[in-house]
Amino acid sequence: MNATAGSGAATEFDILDNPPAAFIEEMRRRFPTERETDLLLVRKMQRRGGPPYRRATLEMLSACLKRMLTGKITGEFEISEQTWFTGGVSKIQMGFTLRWNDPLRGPARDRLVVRMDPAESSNTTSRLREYELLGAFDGVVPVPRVFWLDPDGRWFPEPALLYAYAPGVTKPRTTGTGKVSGLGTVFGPELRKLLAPQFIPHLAAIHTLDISNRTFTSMDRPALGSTQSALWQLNRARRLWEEDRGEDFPLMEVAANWLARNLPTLDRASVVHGDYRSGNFLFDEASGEINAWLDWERGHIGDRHRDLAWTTQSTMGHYSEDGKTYFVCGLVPQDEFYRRYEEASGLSVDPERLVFYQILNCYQIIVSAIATAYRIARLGKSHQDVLLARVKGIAPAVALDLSRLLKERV
Amino acid sequence: MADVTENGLRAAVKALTDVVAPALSATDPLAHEQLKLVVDYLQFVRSRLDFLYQRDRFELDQHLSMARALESIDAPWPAAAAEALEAAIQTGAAALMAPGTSAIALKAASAALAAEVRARVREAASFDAKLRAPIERAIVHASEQRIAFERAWYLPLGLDPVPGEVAPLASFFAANSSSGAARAP
Repeated sequence: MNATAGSGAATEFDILDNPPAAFIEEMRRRFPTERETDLLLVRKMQRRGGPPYRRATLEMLSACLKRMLTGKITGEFEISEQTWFTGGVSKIQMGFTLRWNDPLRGPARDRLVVRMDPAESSNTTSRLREYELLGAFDGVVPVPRVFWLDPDGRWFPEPALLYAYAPGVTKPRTTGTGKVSGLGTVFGPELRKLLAPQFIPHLAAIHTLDISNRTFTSMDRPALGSTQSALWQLNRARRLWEEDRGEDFPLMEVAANWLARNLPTLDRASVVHGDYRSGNFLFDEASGEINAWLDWERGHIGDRHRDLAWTTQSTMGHYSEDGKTYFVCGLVPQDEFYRRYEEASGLSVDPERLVFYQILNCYQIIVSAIATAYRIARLGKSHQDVLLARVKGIAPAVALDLSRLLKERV
Repeated sequence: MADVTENGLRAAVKALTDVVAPALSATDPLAHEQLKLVVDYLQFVRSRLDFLYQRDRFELDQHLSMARALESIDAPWPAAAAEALEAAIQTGAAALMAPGTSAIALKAASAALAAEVRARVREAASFDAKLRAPIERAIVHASEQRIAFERAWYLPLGLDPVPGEVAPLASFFAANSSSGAARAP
């Protein structure tokens, strides 16, 4: 975590600002992963030498929207009430109202969201995958209805997804819970009682969705009983480290060595949400009902322990008012979380697999915070460059978790 | 004339909060969000401005400690690799000892050491467990002080999950300047 790369002095990593084709091919060879992920990472690297992100205006996106919907909607339609949504880190989001004639419902007035990539995102992920996952979980867990997709930036400057606006909040407006520590959303005792009984069954429902007869064009299915699932995820993270970073951090090399030596086999292929935590669901503050699960962009078919380790990661939760109990995502004590998950899903929680994914998740978060965020801010590739510059501040706490996990095992 | 960069940053923050913020359109929440982030980041830089050079020296000292720990391990490095590590250590030590070494030279020495350590750890992946383990343990151990320092450095950003356990930033520099070696604060 040195400051070399930010000094203006030349470094060996400067080649990553405009990588040659040979480097891109080398990454593909060294770190094979899912086909969709591979395509996206190649696209990212091939376009990296291009211009920085230029701020889109509401008028520009509205014009793109109109062109797209002209080809999608039969009959007249009207777009109005365009507004920006704040708070998103990796994607640009514009809300709008659409008056149209829905073939299923007849004349309709819908509040929708355009979710579009910047020139280079802090998460290089697939809008097609998000589209498929939102469709697959409609009626299984609360998700916004998905409407249309621009997978390749045919109408919009970058790939984009259109889905229904979901009402609700990600955190209470006031908590009044006294002194607590940690980054995780502080819901307080009353909301915890209402949200936790939904939070765990929803995760169980995602992991137990029967995908045996489903076809996803954007997701490959790893082989059961093999280490392929874990390897794909590890390779994706290692590739990002090689493609994005501006400095060395030797602890990451130890982690990569350990992870490569300890790949777990896959006992059951589940849909993994990828970012299952507080902040990624919307709820009604009065009733405590979860209205929508968002941000499926890290989703994949793989090992449920990836989600379990992510959800229970230390920066996602906080300690209780008396400092004695750690609340997973600010909602439920950790032991209770695992027990209730096993009851709800009928699936086991394997401590060894959990540890592997705890280490991999730390590795991945550090990749994002130190490497990807740095490269994007350096090249001005996103709408949130300033925020990404600040994200490095989360790396030390995660590095501490990583070093503690490794210390017991190397 | 004294350096007044901190004063300049203070003025920039005041201009942004007093003049620019009220002039932003209420219908542009992204602009308000970005302005707050910019002001917060400038405040962070202000709080760290006086320590930037000490940071560069501390980092180099940490990289040197890690590289020396690695060098002391009896491992089957190729001769050229061992020589490259030793050369980076010599350069880094000289940069740290020489009075008035520029920030750029300190950073370059740190980067060279980190690159050599990275290469050695990657090579260790193919070693037998008995040979590999001390190398990886040395890196984990040598990272602890650096991680504690980084937590202190970035504490003002408010992203540490347990801020109460973070040591004061000055304690790292005090330990570093008194001994020339990395020690726990």
